[in-house]
Amino acid sequence: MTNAEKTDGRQTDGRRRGALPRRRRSPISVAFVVRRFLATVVLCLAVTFVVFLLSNVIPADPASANLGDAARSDPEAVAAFRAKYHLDDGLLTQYGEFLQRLAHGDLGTSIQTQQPVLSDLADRAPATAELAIAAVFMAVLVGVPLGMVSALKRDRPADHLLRTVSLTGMSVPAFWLGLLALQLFYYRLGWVPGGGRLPVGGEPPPSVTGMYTLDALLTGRLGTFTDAVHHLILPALILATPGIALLTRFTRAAVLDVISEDYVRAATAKGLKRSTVLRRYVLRGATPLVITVSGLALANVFVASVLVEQVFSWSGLGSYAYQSAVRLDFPAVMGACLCITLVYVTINLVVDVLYGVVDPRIRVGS
Amino acid sequence: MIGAIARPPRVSMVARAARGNPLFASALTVSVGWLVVALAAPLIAPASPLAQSPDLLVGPSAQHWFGTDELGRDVLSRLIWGARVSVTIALIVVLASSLIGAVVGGVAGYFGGWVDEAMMRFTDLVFAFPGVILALAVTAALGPGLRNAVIAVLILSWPPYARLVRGQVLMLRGSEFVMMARLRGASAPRTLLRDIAPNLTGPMLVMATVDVGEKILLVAAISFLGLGVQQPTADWGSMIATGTQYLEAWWLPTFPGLAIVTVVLANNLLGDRLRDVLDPRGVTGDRRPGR
Repeated sequence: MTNAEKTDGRQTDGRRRGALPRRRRSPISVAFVVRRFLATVVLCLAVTFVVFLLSNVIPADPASANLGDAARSDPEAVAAFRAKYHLDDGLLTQYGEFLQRLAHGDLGTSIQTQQPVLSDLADRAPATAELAIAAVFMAVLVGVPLGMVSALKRDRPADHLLRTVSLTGMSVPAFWLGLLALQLFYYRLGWVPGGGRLPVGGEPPPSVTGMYTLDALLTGRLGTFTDAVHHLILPALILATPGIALLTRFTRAAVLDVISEDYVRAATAKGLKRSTVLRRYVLRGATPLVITVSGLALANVFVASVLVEQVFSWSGLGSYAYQSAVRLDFPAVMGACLCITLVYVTINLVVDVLYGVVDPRIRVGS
Repeated sequence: MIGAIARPPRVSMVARAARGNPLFASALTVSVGWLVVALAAPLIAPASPLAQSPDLLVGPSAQHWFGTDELGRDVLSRLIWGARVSVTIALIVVLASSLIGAVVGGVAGYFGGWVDEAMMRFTDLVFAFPGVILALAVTAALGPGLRNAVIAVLILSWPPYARLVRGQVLMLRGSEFVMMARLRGASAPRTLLRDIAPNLTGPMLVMATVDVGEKILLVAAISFLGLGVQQPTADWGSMIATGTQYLEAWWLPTFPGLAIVTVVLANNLLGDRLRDVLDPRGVTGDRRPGR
């Protein structure tokens, strides 16, 4: 379930607060922020509970999935495994314990890696963050200008072409596009490396942020930086594709919305240059929506990372979630899902609040 | 008020949407075409989707138009049978989730008050879950497999319909013809079904059209992760997944991916155009972003 959907839903629903433009809205209030924050907390609890509930109403058995053949046929080994991971305790007891440990930052121990889930997640989060930030950066850099062109050439061939291309961009499974790109640019042409974050045997830069490109720059290792960028470009571009399509469509709509405003006509009428009108009036008026949609794109990128990281062997949160899920590594699945959902809802929260802050009409209105 | 009410869709309106719009007509052809392929799979497919042959990983040829996979199975045949899985699941999910959503939204909108509040807060909660992640958690927990993947997708798919229907019911509830029905002594269910529901079919059809594509994408994603349709059943998502292991065989992922793109894009185009005709007030909103 994605975000603009939510904003769509809100349009039909007069009593709710929306992320899409509203002509009149009261200034952003503390009560609104607090309520959104509380809703976010409730949502996160719900996430833990749902995942937790599911992991206990299961036909699939984590013990047999994670033990070797010999151990699986040994009842003692199975019992020891179940006891170690509290698989035999009552449902609410297990959930209570889980929440309690959560409050202490303890997400349990991954069955797969034998590491605390929290440290696994901390290891992998920077990789996904690096990828996501690069992807959204690309999406904004490409999507916004395309959307503007589309709006300014409304109903001309360029507009039709861009609209069709952006609709296609939304219809393409990113994991498929990634695979094809890998096949073409790595396997056939050899232009890009074949996955991972650095060349095989490449030494990661000293960890500052955990993002290789940034760390390499900070510690002055230009060779490593170039390598890291090489590895980053293709997966980021693939992850950016839905965002580019999304931003093209929404920027077009926002610009068309603003361009017919009286103040834009007034600016044109008083003889300002077209480029000035576009920059100072149109683009500025469209900014709140662009920021909102970029935020939504960022949230979506984190979710999509589950599909795309796997293709590029990118050792981030997404591939961790995937590998844990197929191994039925519950603590890890729960931790990864919780982590990604947390990021997702937090970005949504920030986007909602930020929207109120950046929309000049709100300040003018108050 | 009356003028603002969407008319129920008629075949003639779809025909009107198609006339003078080649893009819509071709999208309709593609979409209906896949439906026919799904229905007639046993008749069209050149071979059994499970039949193995000694020609492993052979590229497209006269004998195997779309090549063969790692077990020597005909990719074209698997693609055609895969349409069955994808199209059927998408239709079932969309039908079921629109029904659930319509009931939830209809009840919430019509009765209002705390019923509305409780139901819509719950809807918000489900709505806020990121789809692929919950699907991942659900299928991981219930065990991989088609049935569980469908359950996972169903859990997540109804809220947009609930919101749409609730908004519409709220709007229609106060209209004169609904009041007339109530004054005539019609019961709440009767009013909802006979007077309000026909006005919802247009926007619902628009949403469902786009949603079929969305659900094909989502199910393909789940199967790609190995959590949905299991081998040896032919399915687009898992066919693409096989391609990750054989980078030299470009035909493995290319064709199933193209199948997904064509059906999703066709439905998106249909939805866009149908919205113009059936939902001039735009209550279904712009289409949703990718994942």
